[in-house]
Amino acid sequence: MHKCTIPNIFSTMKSSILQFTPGAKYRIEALRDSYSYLSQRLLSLGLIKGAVIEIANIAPFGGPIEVKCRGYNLSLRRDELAILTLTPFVI
Amino acid sequence: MSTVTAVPPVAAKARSKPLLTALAGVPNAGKTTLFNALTGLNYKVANYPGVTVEKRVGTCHLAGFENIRLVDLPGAYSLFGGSPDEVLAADHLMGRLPKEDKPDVVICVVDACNIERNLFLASQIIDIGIPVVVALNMLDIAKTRGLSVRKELLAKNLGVAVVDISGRTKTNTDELLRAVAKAGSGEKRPGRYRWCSDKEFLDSAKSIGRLSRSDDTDDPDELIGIGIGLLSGSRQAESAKQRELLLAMRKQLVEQGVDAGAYETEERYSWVNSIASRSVVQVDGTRKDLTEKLDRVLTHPVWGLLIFLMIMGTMFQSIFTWASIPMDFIDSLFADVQVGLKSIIPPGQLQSLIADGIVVGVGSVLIFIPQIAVLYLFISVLEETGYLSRAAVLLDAFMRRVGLQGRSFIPLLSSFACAIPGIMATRSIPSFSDRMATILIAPLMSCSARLPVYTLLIAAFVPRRTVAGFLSLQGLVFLGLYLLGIVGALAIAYLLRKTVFRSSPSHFLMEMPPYRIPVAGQVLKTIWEKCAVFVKNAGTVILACSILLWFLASYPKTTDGSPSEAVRQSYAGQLGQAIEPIIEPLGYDWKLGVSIIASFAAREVFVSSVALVNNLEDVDEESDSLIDAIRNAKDPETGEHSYDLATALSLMVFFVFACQCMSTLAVCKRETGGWKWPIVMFVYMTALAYGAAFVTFRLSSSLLT
Ligand SMILES: Nc1nc2c(ncn2[C@@H]2O[C@H](COP(=O)(O)OP(=O)(O)O)[C@@H](O)[C@H]2O)c(=O)[nH]1
Ligand SMILES: [Mg+2]
Repeated sequence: MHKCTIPNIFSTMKSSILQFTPGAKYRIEALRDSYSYLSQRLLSLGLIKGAVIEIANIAPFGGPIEVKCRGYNLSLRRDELAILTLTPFVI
Repeated sequence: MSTVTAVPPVAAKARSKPLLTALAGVPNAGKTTLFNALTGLNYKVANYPGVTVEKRVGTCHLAGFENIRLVDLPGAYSLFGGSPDEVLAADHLMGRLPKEDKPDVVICVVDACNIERNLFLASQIIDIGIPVVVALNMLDIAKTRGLSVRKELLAKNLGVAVVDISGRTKTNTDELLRAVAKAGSGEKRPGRYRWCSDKEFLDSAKSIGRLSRSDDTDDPDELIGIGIGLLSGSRQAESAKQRELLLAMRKQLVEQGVDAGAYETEERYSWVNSIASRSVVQVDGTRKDLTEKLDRVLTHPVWGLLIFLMIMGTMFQSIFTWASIPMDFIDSLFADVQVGLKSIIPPGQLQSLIADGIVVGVGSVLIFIPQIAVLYLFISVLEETGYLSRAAVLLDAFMRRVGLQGRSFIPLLSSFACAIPGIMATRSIPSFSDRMATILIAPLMSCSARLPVYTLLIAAFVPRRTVAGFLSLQGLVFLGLYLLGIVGALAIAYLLRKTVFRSSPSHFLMEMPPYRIPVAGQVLKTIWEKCAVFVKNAGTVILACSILLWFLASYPKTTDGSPSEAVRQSYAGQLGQAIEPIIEPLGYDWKLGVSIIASFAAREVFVSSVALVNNLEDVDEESDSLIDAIRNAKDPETGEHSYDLATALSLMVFFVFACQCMSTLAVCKRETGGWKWPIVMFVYMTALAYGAAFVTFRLSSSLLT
């Protein structure tokens, strides 16, 4: 298999996960491993490159994170969210 | 079918071929609500062959449109998604299912409040080439949210008819059906692949798609669809040549700086986005967000958990208190019927079969209906309001630690009433390993069929005493049995995740609907459907087993001797004696053996079976005669008491873990599509029950004497 040229900045991403706060907005820069089931799932839900997500709620005890995207809310686990490469979004 | 004698031949012909109309859309777009509005009660729920995704088919009940036949497809986020529901919806739409006709028209249900994601799927459906009518749903909510939809503009951009409706309030359904009839009669196919301006991409997709042999099609647009599926990884290449071409195409896209796996989705979304932003206008921006405020509380680490525990507590309390009134009623009703039948039918084998076999069997199924109804009253109200999704989120962190996930919670909860609806509720878990683990542990939740057994044994052997001043010892034992089941279940789930399902991925990924006020009609419908399914599943199995048990306990007939001798010599008695060596280490004699064998059909049969082998009639678990009888049962040879507290504890622990329910196994087989998992379930549960009962018996015998 060939390799995708998408830069993998997963490592820098991971630290930022811990700092998620409700209300923060991020832009999706890329998805890792776009042929995988999980990525295809996220893609069809509209979490594509360029989309902006807002952290809506963080479940307690290390539980899922709820994000707002395209007018609806989606709850995903932290490791599922980590498949996205995010950068803080400021208007 | 209706009679057509008075109708001219042409009309008769037109009527004989119904217009097959599929309802498609993302989950929660309102397909089922619309389906119900259009068909009334004219429908039936079936399963797709071989899989357990529900299929509803019905005929339109609105005057003038009786020839429209409707199918409610499973929800899908994408036609290339790859979850079982999505594959099925896509296959049905493309006419790939062997036993299903390709629909003539598709009603694409679009949630107007969630337009982009819904139009994304609509655009994929339009690409298939079947005439499409877009039903812009949830008009009522859109209005209150101040959304104004320019449907003419939407129709022009999509190239298909658009009707704004509300399935819940049944607004504009006539107009929708007129559009469906029109689309069905017209030849014009909607414009396809409008989202893609890259001719070259479509050509390459087509040439790759052509190499797939499994779809027998020459339609260029369908070939493009196959090519796109291959490109995104949701379809596998069928030949080396195809794989080579596919890799070349991906490589080319990647060189252009495009993520090949995401290409179609990204292009389509950006097209959909440009349409949506022009055709949906937010008139009034004051969308008050009650949902967010509620979420702050309901998923709060402290308040959220407290509220959750309170809701669960209320629910359990209600299952056992509210339901006990109709249950007692059903119980006495069947007892009366039994007595009545015995007075009508002359004594003999027929009387015995009907009164002791069939009536008892039917009664032991129907007795659970009230509990299941109350349970589903709670579950469907909580689901409709949107709370269950929050509960799943709240619990995911705990559940994943033992190898389950937040969604497992609902099936496990249902299993406290009965494992059958519980196992069926696992359909909402898309991840295979999570679903299997949930199915396998669901029967460890103490279902209501165990209640009569616990009640009888606790009343007979656990002393009526209070501990620590106010806690009833009997109550504590009761609670302990429930907890034992839960703890055992979690431990098993953990083991499964560490062994059998070690490498299977688990996904959560759940949409959070806004909070809504539930509709009574919808709730009642859910309750009705769940009860009907239960009767159909459990009814047939339990009835058959009750008749079999009656036969085993009544034959071969002995002409002389006491009733107890008759039981001893019956097939059931012989079986009991045959297994005595196996169950002796657990503290049971052959009489309990008979009852245990009987209870493998269904647990609650245990009580009537104990009564049977102890020659008692008309008893229930609270009857003093039965309690006294087992308390005072003596071994005929030694003259000592047959059973004591150690036996009772061992027996109850056995019931906590053993898989004594044919219907559960039957449902497990149906839901998992084979004998493998029901066998695994039966074997592990029986082994666990035996081991735990053995340990309990040994420990308590030595501690209590
Ligand atoms: N307000 C409103 N709610 C609706 C409408 N249609 C469906 N719903 C609600 O949306 C939810 C999901 O509907 P359902 O028909 O089960 O969606 P499905 O998953 O597409 O079958 C239910 O709570 C419905 O009561 C509508 O037109 N207006
Ligand atoms: Mg539905």
